[in-house]
Amino acid sequence: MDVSQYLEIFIEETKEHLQSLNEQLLVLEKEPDNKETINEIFRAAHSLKGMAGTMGYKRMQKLTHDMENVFQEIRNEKMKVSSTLVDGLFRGLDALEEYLDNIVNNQDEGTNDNQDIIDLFQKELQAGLAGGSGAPAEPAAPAAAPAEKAAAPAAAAAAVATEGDTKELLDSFTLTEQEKNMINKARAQGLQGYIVRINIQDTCVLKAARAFLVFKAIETVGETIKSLPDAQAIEDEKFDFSFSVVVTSAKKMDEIQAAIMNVSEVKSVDIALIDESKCEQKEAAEQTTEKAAAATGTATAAQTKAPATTAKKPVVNRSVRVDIDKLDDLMNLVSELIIAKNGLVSISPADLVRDEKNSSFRDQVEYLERITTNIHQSVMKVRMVPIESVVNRFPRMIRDLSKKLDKKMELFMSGEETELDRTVIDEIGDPLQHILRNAADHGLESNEERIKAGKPEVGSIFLSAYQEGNNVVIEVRDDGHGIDVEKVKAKALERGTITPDQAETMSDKEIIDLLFRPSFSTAEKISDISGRGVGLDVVKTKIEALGGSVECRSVLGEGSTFIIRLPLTLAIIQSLMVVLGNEKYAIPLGSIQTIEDIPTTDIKYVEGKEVINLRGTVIPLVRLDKILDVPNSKQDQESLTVVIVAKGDKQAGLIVDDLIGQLEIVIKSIGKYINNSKMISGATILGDGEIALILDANTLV
Amino acid sequence: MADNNMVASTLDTTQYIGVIIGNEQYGIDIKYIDNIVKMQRITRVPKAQPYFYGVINIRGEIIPVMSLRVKFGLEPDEFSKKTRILIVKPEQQAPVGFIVDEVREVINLADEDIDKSSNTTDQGSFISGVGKHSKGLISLMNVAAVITEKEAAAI
Repeated sequence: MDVSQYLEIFIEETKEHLQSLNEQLLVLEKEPDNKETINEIFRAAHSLKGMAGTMGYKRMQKLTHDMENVFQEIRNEKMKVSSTLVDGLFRGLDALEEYLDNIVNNQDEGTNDNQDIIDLFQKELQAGLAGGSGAPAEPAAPAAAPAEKAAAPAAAAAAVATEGDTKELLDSFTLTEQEKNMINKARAQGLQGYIVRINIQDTCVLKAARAFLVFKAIETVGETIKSLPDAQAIEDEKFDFSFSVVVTSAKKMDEIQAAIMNVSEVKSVDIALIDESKCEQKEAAEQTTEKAAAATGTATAAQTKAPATTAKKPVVNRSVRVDIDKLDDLMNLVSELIIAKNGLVSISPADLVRDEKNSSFRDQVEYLERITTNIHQSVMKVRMVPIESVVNRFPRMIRDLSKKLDKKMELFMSGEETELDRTVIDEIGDPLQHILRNAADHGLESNEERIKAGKPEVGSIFLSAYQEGNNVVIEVRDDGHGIDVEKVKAKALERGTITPDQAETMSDKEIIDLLFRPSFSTAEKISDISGRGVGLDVVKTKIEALGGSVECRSVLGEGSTFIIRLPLTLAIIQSLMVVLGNEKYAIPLGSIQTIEDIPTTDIKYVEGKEVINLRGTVIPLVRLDKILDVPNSKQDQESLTVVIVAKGDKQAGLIVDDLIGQLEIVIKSIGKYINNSKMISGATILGDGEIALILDANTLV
Repeated sequence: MADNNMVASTLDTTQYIGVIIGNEQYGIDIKYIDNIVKMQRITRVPKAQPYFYGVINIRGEIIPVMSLRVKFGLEPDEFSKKTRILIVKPEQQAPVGFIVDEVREVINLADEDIDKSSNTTDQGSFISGVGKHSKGLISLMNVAAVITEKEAAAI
């Protein structure tokens, strides 16, 4: 067997552990005495080490081992958490992430030993121990660790149970002559035979993989002779949460136990020595409750007696991991289904309702329509991912920035549970990161300036996400000095971005929008954090590519807010179908405000451009037939059909020949070959197989 | 000896689809051909290159369609009953449709019948060689070059 098939699990879990380490370290930095956090960190580091070791990533194992040593001493209260230590630990995490990246990319951890970090740990360890020994002179007894203290009563109860367990454990095996022979032979060589029962955590999803890793771990200390159930059954996951093996080994019992416990998600290991007369073996069982909380002891006891009827089984998260490609396939099929459904709708004879046959046909079509819409919504829901997976790395980033910039700041996040389509989630990380860096670097003032301005010394950055209709809004707000409109104006004039005349008439909001133009940075000091002028325009382009929008509001002296709006989904949208000449176009419903019939006589001219005055608002008109070079358009009638679209505060009236109606459309790309003007955001297939292009209203406003 | 020759020729033979564009016959390597469909309604894409007539729907997939006549600098197409769209799928790239006047036949060409050192035609790089077969000469199309952005050099 080969470990590569478990690589995926390894990568997933390592990511989870690293994320949890990052989060817990942040907590630890603030509350250096938080026992629970220290234990949590220790557990995560320990599992990481075990996993890396099993997969054969020696450098990663070495580094985690040294980290674990540090945590061990902290846990035993032999040394204190210092800020240099936390910095070192963060560097260690970064190095681990680097290993993981290497593994993801080329199945190899790379050759960086990160010796400097390891040295740092060792130095800290020595310094910490030397300094700490004067302090609380607590005995190094393992009982000092709070987790075990808490678990003690339960463990004691369990210990009683294990007496019987061991007997039962030994009785559960009947060794064949041949196997007895092997054990005897091994014993002649100075080895010992053991029966080991491995209990896997009942939250474990891939039991077979765990079992495999356990077997791998056993291989490092001894040899497996037999397993119950047999190897094939274990591989097929035909066991509950425990299985037993007969092992011969030169190692001591606790060493074997420790080797197996290194595999993550192993709850406990029971082990018993097989002596010559097998039936009257000496009992030497042990129970390890290292990984689980207080309840584990009793739970294990219950489980070993009657594995199938575990009474207090915790509520397991009923979820399945699905390859995203499979979901994409499903999504494509749903898209096809909707196209087919639209086809049926378009041939259903709307004007023949009276005919009984036709009306029942229409009923069925409507039924089908309902179902497809529901399926679509369900599939969309499956593809939704909480935004948490993107934003959870930001607290760490802000902490690092705070150190680097020597500004005190704190990040407050809310609405992490807000969900977005996976395709959006994948893309939104970088723009958000950029805006946050901007807020930290340019938005917030230095500590002294803040005190001078009468603000709290610690700057605050707020990241909040929430759903608003068919959009998800993400706001990044800081309480810094805000955007100095005059400064931006001066800069724009200096760069020739705007003319002095324009500067006179521009509103503050329009001037702030200049920040989103390419190569525009007002930072006086260029740092490597932000301010190279390749910033906000990239953010804007990226977000607009996702079908979203970004705007900035700022009050001088009080701070700025960046508001990002993103569509919930990308693949299927509601749209208004319109006619231009002989062609059909789709306009996304999300950008449409109203539809108006305007007499030609109402058209006014401002600076030679056509506008209309609609209920007090002056709206520029866009002749779509001209812009899109549509032949045979009939727009010179007495009255015009105008679709009013909006982007932010701006509006435009798109003149179309005729309206067809609302339609749920599947967005498809028109490929890279055709030189696409930005006006066309894609295409869709109509019910009759015809193609309609989708207009991007944002580019027309 | 005769047997040997037979074996050799079947091994080194490439099949080409013979198509007519203007008054010339071209061959397109059959491995690139995904499908051949009759002329159908093409949805125009505004502001596209002139040789891209638009997009068509082939079994739910949206495929851009280009006119080889326009690309080669000939008169624009006059669609007839014989006009076909060849769906060509180059390696590692999305499919694209070629409008041709007519699809004639499948031609087997042995390696020794292909003259690669050819810059005799005014389309220059669109041609990868000239094949000799029983009914005359046939220009072998360099599909990758046709799809890439360049306009016909001769115009």
